[in-house]
Amino acid sequence: MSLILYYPWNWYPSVVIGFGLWTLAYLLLIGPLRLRFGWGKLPAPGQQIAFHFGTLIALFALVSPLDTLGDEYLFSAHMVQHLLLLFITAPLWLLGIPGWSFDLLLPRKQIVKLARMLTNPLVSFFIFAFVMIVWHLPALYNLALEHEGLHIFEHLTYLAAAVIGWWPIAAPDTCIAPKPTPPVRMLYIFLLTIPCTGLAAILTFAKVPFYPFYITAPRILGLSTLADQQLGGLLMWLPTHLVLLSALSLTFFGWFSSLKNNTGNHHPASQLP
Amino acid sequence: MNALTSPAHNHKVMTARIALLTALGTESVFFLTLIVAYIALRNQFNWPMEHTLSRLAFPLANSAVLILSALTAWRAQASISLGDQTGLKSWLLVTLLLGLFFVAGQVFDFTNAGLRINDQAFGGVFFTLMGFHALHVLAGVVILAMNSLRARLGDFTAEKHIAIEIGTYFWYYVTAVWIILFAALFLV
Amino acid sequence: MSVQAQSLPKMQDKSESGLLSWLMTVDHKRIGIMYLVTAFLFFLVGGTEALLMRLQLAQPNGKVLTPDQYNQIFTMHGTTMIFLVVMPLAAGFGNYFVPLLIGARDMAFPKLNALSYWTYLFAGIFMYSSFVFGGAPNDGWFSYAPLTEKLYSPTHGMDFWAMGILLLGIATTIGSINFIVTIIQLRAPGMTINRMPMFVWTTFVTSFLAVFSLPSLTTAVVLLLLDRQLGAHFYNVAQGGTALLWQHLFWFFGHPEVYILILPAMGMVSEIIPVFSGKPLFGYMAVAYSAVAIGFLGFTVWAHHMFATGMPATSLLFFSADSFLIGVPTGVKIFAWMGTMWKGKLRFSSAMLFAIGFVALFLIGGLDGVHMAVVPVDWQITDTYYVVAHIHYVLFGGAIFGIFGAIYYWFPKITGHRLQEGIGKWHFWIMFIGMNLVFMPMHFLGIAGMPRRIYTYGDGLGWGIWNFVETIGAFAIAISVLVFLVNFFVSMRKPATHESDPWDGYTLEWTTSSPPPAYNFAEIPSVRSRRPVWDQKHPEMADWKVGE
Repeated sequence: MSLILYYPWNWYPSVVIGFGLWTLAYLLLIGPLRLRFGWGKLPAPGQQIAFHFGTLIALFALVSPLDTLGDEYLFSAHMVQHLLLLFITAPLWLLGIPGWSFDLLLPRKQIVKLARMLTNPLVSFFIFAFVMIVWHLPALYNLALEHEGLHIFEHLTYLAAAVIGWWPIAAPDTCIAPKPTPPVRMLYIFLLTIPCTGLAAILTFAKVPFYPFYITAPRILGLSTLADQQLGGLLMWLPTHLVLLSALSLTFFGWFSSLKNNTGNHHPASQLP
Repeated sequence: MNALTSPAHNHKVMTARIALLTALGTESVFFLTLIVAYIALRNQFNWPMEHTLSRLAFPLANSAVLILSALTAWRAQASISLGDQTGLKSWLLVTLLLGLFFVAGQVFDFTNAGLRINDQAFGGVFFTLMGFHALHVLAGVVILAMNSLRARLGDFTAEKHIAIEIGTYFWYYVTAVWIILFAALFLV
Repeated sequence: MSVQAQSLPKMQDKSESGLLSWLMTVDHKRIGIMYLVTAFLFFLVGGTEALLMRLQLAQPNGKVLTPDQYNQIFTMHGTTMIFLVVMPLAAGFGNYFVPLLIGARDMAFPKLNALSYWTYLFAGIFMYSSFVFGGAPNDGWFSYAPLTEKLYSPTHGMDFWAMGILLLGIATTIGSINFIVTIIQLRAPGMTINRMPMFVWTTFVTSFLAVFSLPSLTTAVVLLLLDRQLGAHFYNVAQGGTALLWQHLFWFFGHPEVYILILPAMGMVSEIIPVFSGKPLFGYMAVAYSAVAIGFLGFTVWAHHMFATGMPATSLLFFSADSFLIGVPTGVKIFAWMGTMWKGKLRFSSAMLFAIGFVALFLIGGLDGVHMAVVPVDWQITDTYYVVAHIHYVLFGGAIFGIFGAIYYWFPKITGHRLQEGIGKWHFWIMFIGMNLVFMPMHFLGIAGMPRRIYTYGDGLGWGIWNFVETIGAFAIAISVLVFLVNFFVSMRKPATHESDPWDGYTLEWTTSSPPPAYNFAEIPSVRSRRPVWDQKHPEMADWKVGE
């Protein structure tokens, strides 16, 4: 923790301005624009907090000393940065953005088709897994660390893939891309653990370091390159599973509550004559 | 499923789909663990990448065959959804032949690879991954053959063609697995 | 209003008897019975193997078995009990009762159901034929590489094991898919997922566990066969393989497997305890949730079977923490069962005794597990008898006791006869005492350093007395099983009572005759709560009225 004091914060203009505009857009959306055009209800305070918290976490991940640590010294720190973006920011943003804002795109048929395709659980699963795995291939991972432009692109694709990946679980209720039913959501969450576990296991149990950048990076905190990589793998393992377990639990309990008020008309056999 | 079909039929379709999805889920974990074994072994020693890269052409061509067959499988299902029996039969046949061609190509590739299954860990991984995939393609071919037969007997209509759906989705699956395996073995 | 949720399967004429009708049956009840009978026979075989082991170990420098014989016996004991006894017993009860509990006429795929059973039977016979073809598998039920390579295990035993496991995997996978589809698609009207009996819940979660974990075992075993038969080098370090790969692949399956073994029994106990406490299951939602959470977390902790393999230090920490975490949902269940019994009108039938025995013994076994999650403790006691104690408290005290509970509970439904309560109590107490005599001292032996899988031990280590006690206990268990068999035959000889609801039960199986007709229900029932039969019998106090 005292590392925070040693390493600099990097208030990258692109990041600060970018998130500033993002927040502004959100505030305009739920504020003046919403009132002017009568788009829908104000998101609950909890939702708004979730959204802003997600933005703050992303900001923290990208400008705090964590960024320096990750970009210059430690694989595990870099992992924390990515995990914050993928597993905290993305779902929080989805929880915070009101459903009616997405439905504004309903008149555009092509966009509706695209949205439905992207948020189909099979597709979103693959996008999320693919993006995550591809960026961990040693050649690409290294390249991103060496070229700032590619690195920014990497983060943007992470965020986009994460939003798509989390959509079937955490998205608001919309007409444009409705979420699957709770049991399907729960299965989806479980399946998401598989690419995470696979990647995490490989990183944790590997006997050799994979990423040339971190082999030549200066050693700090007494962590060897290999130990650093293993720590990164473990961070990918347990914390992500805890987040997914929480999502699973929330979905389960939400589902049960909705069933309590049910008279039993929503399941297969009862739809038959 | 459409408004013309009875709820009982929709129920049957749903049942078949859930069964297929679960079966594909289990197969996916199987291929995944094979790929994990591959990755684990790859770390062990100097992986002979030159071996595969130099012979990329043939597998690449075979991939095109398989992807083409996925398209023809799609056409087959689209045909029967519109009630086009001839279309169904023709496209099924083409898909089946392309599938067989793919498997033959794989066998050809295997025998000319200059590699044996007991050639270090690499040989084992290569043949296991490719071999199990080819077996699944063969299973798909068998399903397509059975469907062809039933199509000829007039078993399918625009409203009722569960077996065609199942066969087609299985075929898509086999193609998707190939793409992933190809990328893992030849490109990475 | 009645609903037929699926087309009627090919009906079994009740007057059809004879071997052929059983060989060709696709009726889930007959298939269930076949599973139960076959698995019970394997139980007797596996138990005999255990007795042989105990005879060999009763004294230092035992001469009952040669080392190689001992290795074969303990391998087959473990393999039999896990794959040929506990899993099929659960499958048998699942097959028989899941359709009844959900108000269906049969499983979703009756023919596949039959295929599962016959594959299982064939696999079991195949594995056992190894004894006459050069020797049974002898590398332990989890067969670590490189010991299992051809070089070190030249007999065909391991090939029999590997191929048998592949066949069993196929049987279980098909069966699991069948259960998943059946439970999703064939529930009676009104039976939303929060009204399903808990045994159905646990069968559902177990089936998912099986579907997602068995492929890992398949891969492990396939690679082993390729190594042994075609000279591949997956596990051969000299040629680029890695022996640790076996452990990862095996335990990725192996850990979910232990939940596959225990969850059905937890479901059975969750059916029995409420009925004999006169109350609904306490904390139904929490119990259902804990099954799901166990299923989820079960896939993440496999490396706790590998603490002593030289894993990186930080990973030891993480897996230890994760393993503690997974103890929590199990604890939730224990509280739920106790909460169900609290202030209930308890009836201590044999079924109830076994269910309560389950809770007590499983608790001990579970606590053992928590001990072992502490890495330094594990480093001391891994591969010692402490682990053997743990396994048997959860699998024998847990799964087997739960299953015996289910046998006493559901026997009247399956056969139309009641098992004798008096004999049943003798069965329970002898088995309970015997079980503790065998497995409690193993804790002490483990801490004292006695390794597992050794065919004998020296004098003067102080292990002899405990081993002797354990052997006595083993024979006590054997006697209790004989008592059970006596109960079975005595009960079957008495005239059938054909009571449809002998226990004043809650769930749909108690509405049919005993045994049920081939079609199960003349009219598919509609349910409005978790205890539809209670609702029927007590309309003024029905659960849906009272707001359960």
